[in-house]
Amino acid sequence: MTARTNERHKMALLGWLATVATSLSFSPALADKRFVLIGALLAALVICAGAVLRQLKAPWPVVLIVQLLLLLELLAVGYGKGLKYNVVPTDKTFAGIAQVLRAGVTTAQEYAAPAPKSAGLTLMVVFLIAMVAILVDLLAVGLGRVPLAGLPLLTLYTVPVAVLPTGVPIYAFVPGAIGYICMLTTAERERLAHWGRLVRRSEGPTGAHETVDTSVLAATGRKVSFLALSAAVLLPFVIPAFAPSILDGGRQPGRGSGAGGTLSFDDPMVSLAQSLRRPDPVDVLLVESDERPEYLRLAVLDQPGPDAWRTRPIDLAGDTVQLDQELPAPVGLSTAVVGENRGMHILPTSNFPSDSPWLPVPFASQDVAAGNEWAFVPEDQTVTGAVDSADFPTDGYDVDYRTVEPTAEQLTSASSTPNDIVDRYASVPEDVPAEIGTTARAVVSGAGSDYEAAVLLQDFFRDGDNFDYDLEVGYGYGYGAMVEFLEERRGFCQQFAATMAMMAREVGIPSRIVVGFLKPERLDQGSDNVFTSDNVHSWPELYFEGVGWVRFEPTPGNGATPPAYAPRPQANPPGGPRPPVATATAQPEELRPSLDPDPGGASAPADSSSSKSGSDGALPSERWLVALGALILSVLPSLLRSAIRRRRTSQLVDQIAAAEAAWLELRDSMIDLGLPWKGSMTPRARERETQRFLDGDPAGLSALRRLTLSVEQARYASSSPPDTQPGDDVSKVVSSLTRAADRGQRLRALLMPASLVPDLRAEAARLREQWATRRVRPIP
Amino acid sequence: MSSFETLATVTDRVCKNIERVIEGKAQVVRTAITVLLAEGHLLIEDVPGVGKTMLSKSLARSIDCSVKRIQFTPDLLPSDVTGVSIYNRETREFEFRPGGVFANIVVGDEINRASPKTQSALLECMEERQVTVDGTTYELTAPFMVIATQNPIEMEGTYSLPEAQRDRFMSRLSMGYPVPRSELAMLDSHSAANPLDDLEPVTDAAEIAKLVDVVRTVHVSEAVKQYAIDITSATRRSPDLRLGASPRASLHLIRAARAHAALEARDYVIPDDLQTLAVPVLAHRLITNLEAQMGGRGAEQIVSALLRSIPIPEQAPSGRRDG
Repeated sequence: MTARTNERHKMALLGWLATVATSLSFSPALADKRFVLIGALLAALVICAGAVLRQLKAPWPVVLIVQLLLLLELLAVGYGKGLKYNVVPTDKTFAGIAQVLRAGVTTAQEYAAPAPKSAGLTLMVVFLIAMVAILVDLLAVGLGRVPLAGLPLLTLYTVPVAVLPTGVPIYAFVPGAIGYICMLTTAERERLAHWGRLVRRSEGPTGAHETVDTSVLAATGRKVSFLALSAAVLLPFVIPAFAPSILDGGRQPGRGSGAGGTLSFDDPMVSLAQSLRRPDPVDVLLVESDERPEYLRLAVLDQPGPDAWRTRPIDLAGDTVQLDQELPAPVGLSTAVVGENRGMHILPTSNFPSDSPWLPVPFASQDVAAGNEWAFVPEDQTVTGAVDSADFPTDGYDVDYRTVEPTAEQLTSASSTPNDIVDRYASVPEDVPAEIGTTARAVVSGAGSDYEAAVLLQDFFRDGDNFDYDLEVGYGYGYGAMVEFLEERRGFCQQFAATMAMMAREVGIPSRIVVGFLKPERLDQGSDNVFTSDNVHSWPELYFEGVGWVRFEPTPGNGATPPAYAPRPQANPPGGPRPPVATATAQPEELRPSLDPDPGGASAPADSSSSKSGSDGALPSERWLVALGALILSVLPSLLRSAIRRRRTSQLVDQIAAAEAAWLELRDSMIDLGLPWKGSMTPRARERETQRFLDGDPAGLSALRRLTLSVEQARYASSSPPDTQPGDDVSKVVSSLTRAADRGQRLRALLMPASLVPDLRAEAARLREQWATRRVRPIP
Repeated sequence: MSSFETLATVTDRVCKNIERVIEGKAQVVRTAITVLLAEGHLLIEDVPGVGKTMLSKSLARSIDCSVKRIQFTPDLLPSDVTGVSIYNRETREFEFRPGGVFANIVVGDEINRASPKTQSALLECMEERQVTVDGTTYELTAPFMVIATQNPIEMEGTYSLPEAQRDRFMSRLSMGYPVPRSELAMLDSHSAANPLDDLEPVTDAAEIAKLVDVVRTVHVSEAVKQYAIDITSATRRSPDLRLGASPRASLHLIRAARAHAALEARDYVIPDDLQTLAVPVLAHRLITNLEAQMGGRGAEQIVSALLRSIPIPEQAPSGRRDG
């Protein structure tokens, strides 16, 4: 084994170690730590494959491709099902892997770190680790660019840093950094060794041998790197920096308490924006329940204003019901609407503002055991208390409630709304800009009922092409902001809820905004659902007589799903304003969060049917894409071949080049046709060999004779080659050869020109040489 | 008539003349003339009775020039080859009596029967075309060619040629047995009289010297030189060989290839010339190792195998003329 091979193997091993060490930074993000082992094993296998291929002198693109294929194969064997002969992946395998990955994405979206055990998440992480290992191997070993190998390692480190709200502890950074430094040191030491300076004789067990003395330089290097590292680590502590709160909070209007770690619900909408923008989400509520809680309501805003929506002033004596009394059913809800009775225990954490005038409760609460300091507002279905007197339930409170599950039919057949509701909730202030009404009427045109109009409005916002979810918009949610929002088409739940509510009022549907919590961030041990400050949300409620207040979900892209009675545009009545795009609409359905971490677990029938219809809708276009891709792939070799041919004939400076180009073309054409072409044959020997395949065609034979002479003279004679046309001659010979070949040979030459392999290899060698001459390499 | 055409006609004449004596060995005769034009020396090695001496004598006879024959015997002395200074009583001076090598063509018969001491007397004259006796150097006249024959079968009383000596021969030829028809013709022509007696010279030393000058003008491109070096260096790397070809072998190969190209009336050398000549020019210089001998691979087969594996230098440097 040569020294160069040894160096390569050492560098491959170091690259593997560095990758595995860097992958440790994922540990705070995942509860299941097996990913380290699996990732290390996968990385080791692909790197070993690379080492073997390099030993066989394979060029680096081949090594890379084989490594990628091997990785896919390993993942397919490990995670996919339905392998043909237990080896060849099939459609089913990829579908299975996609399913596992989807479950992983869901888990990643659903849970804060550390995410629970999930095959999909592990698959994602090990895939990333193995990809980084391949890249590191390519850069450090294949291309000899060891410093660049830090980039993929850094990428691997950045992922957990980016996804973990608390960042990654320093000890997770250290192993990867050490691994990278080891790679750099080894590479530089070997570079130095190639220079061959400062030789030191040393006595080893195998006798005296001479090594390059790098000790002095190494000591200097250690000093420099120690200083640089120390400076990098210590300087941020010394230099005054802006606190994240200043940077982020400066934009927030009317920030209230600002006390570290707590929220304020003085103005529910303002605190909502503050919560969502917190750089470090905090746990706000712990909810114990058998079913997964979804929406918890805090306050209702029903008074639109030019700059914000407000809550209606509540008279604690007249408008509320004491919690120890029987709580009245929601307004307008008839007994025809089904639902089931459930209960939950809500425990606000210390981050929940203890001076909050509101307590979170689910819709249609029947019993809230929060103490008599609190009162129930039947109109709004919220729980409130006079702030000063409220005794905050620090031990939590039990809530019994009834779910409300109306059907689309019930909503469609809603009778006319009573006048008092219309007056209170459907009135549009005079100063509301006309654009909002115009847009609303354009969106709902063609709707047969208020319900259909509401669904159209929701779809208008949710359509993935229409609006973007963006927390950093500069406008609020008053009238003016709504117009701006409709133009800019980006915002977060504030704008979506307020604008949909106002648009609903414009088309005569009573509406209001609710501020509360949407879906817990994660499950803690047992059945504690944890709501964090990220889960604060607002949504519109629209009134339908016979059903009462019905929640809608216009906000796209934050994991919220539309309610079952107002599904996505598949249920659209024909003639809707924006025909849905199959792929774009299918996506949110597929990414629909589910609390079941087991990807193979049963999901609700409604889910599977909807996702199935979604993917069915996407299939034809995928098939077309696959077919198009296959077509391009199948003609690609042929196109490349003719490009090479064109380039050859275009770059002819003289007769010699023309003869050589023609000779190369003859070689390629013969290789394409599967005819023999040996490197040790002289032009004359080739001529004799080729004559056999010309079938005695006199034109071909004489052209071949001229071609051989011209290339022979071009190469070996001192006089100029005869004034022949090698390009024409080779065309004659090739067409004669093609005529004499059988159909299979001709087809193969057209579709799979074998000469591409030597041509591309020559091209790669040329580029490599160019690159190598540009690089300053020490002379070994 | 161009110089190459003259060369072709003259060599054709010589070939035909020799073939009157040696039937069915056109290729061997042609190689012998190639060596003559390339200013090399020829070693003819084969079993007794296949016409080694006949070939060398007929070649010598076909050219009207001085020919000497040295029968190498075990008691032959170096001075018999090079010449000796003898004291002349009348003039009272030492007088140089030239030896056998002072001729245009020297036929050394059964060269391996002489002792190494005598054989090595040829070293200087073959390479440097001069003889030094008693401190005086005598130039040999051009053209000068040594045609030696030897018998590879008989071991008793023979001394195999030293490597240095073998390396000085440009080419080694084997006559091989004649095909039956040629042998039949030979019986007819040789049984009555010695056809060698009727052989008339068809050219002379001056014309041969001119032809040699023509050969020197043949162009050898860089690609061909590279190919020659590729071939010789491959013999040095071959695992079957204990001794590979020397740089002199590369030189001989190129010179022989020039002559070969000229014989085909071509003013440039092509790789085919090298391929044709590689075995006759290289094989006798190589020493196979024990493994190759056990495997029955002779130097000829090894060179042929190498030729099949060495790629021809493909592309001429584009836009640039070499040489």
